[in-house]
Amino acid sequence: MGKLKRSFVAGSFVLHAVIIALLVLGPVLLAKREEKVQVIDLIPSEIVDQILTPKVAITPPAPTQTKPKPKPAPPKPKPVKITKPKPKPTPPKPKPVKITKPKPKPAPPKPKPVKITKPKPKIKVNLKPTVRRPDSSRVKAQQEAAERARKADAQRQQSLNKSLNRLSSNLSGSTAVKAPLGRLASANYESLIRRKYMDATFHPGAISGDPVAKVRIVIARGGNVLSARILNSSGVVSWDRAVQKSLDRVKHIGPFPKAISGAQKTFTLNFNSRSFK
Amino acid sequence: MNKSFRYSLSVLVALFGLGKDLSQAQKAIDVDVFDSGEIKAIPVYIEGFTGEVLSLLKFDLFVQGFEFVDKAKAQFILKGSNAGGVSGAVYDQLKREFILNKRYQGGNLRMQGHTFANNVVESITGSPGIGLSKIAFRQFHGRNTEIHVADFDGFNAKQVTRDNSISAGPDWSPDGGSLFYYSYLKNNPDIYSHNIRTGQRRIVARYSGSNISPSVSPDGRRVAMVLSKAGSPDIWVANVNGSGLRRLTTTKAAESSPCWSPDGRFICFVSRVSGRSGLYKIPANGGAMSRIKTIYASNATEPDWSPDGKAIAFTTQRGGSFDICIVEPSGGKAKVVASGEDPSWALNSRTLIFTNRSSGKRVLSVLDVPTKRVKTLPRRFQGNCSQAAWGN
Repeated sequence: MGKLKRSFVAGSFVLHAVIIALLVLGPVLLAKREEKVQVIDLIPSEIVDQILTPKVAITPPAPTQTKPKPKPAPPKPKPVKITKPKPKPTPPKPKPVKITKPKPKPAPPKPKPVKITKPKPKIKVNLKPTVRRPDSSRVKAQQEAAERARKADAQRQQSLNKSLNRLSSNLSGSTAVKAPLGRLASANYESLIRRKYMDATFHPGAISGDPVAKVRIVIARGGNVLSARILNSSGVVSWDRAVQKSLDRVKHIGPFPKAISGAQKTFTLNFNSRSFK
Repeated sequence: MNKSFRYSLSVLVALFGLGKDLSQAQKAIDVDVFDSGEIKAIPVYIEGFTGEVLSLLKFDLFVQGFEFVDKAKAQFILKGSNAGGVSGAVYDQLKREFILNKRYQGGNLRMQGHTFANNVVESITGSPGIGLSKIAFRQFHGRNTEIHVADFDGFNAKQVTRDNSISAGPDWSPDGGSLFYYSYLKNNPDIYSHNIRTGQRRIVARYSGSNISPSVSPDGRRVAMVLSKAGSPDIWVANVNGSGLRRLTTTKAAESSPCWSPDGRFICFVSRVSGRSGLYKIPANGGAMSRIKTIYASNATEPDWSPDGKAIAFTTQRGGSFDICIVEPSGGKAKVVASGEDPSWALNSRTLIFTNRSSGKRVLSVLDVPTKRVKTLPRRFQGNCSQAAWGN
């Protein structure tokens, strides 16, 4: 091996060592930083000690007020219209109201009641006592179907257990089996996290679009939530507030399964305001 | 040399590959609140409250997305008493601690109850409650209609107009101090502003033809309305005292029901320019009108823009019945959320008040939009009620 080659080999070893050190130490350092982040607890309600004087004190207009003209003159008085002596019956035929809305404003409830009254006789026709018999048979049929489904389920479970037993008896305790099981266990733990936060989160109301709040949580091996904070705001105040409320509520998830190593682990969560995608 | 270079390259690739695997292992977990396709109500259990305060709490909380369940299933327990004033606490079953504990004095029992309900909503959801808000509406008195105001649950109602005429279409000024409505007081539909503290009334628009459907801008400085002074009913905007009148639409078709976007930049309204009623918007300072598509909902009328700007509620007519629908302000698929008409948003942008029919009578009901649950106002009125406007 030439001098140059040797130096290259040595160089590559050094480079590898540095990369491996970074890979090993990097997450540890990052995790420590996460630990320092404290949960921001919202203290939501404010004390309402200055209890309310009625907001709206209504003074109805004095009866005399109705007849005299209002103080400011109309912007463009058109005397032609005002002088028209129109007695009370005129209001029931205000044309513009009719034009602007499908239902007339004053009194005549034209379209709706007429259509409501029509289907009434139909209801009478449908009143047949015989309707109940098929109901009971349907209930029976449903019960039978449920029973059948239960039996089928039990059978399926039995055959599954059998094949599992067969599988386990044929397998030696090799390490190859542990890997997928470990992954499964951590996937189960992630679904536990998901369920805990889904239960604790309540939707704040009408939201358009699909705002997503990205959250980072650190969980200790025993299951306690060490920190939980919003990394990226969803851009919608009410949704961020609902997510923060949820983060404040969940203090414990559950102890790590064996497949998850380490004293603590960081998880990233996306709080979606909608799942229809 | 080549060999060792290739070797180090392959090691680097392998290491990067490992990194990729690691990042895949730490893939984000999706938390979907709409997971089951429906928004769940917040399960609570109430204990200690009785009578009027208990029913008030149940109404206030129901229309803001709460449901009442067994203690074991509840996520929150509301404990308290209304003997000698309301006092109450909220225990978070998940967090295992009290998140609210308050005692109320002054005012009256209903105010204390509504305030506690507001505190409960805020402590659990983080959003302010609507328990102390007011509504204005018209009520029939024989052939006449008068404007009334009340607490949002219909209690503590007061009659605002006593004109023995037709007064209709009320809308609140943002400060809650004035109502705008139109009235046939002078034998023509004219628009008035009415200071409900002093009782003082002013004419805002009294032109030939009809002057109807006033809608006050979110900053309280301008009013949009429908005037037919130029022929067909068009959308016009003026200052709240009636000055600075400006015409926005110039179609030959009829326009109606203006409402403002919460930023005050646009006015949404109904036009029959295409032959059928549909939703349109136009810049409040003038410009071209554009269609807001409401797919699956024809004959859209009576829009109301949510205070958070995220949705427009409106009425749609299907056969002889009316439905309340919601659409995004940019237009799109309309969702039917309840059966009824003439919706108006509460400040929380999740609760709507609207008109529906009960035993042949028009009554006001409240809808929690996300959970689609409806409750009729617990306080009933003698005459038919409609055209409710939700104030602050």
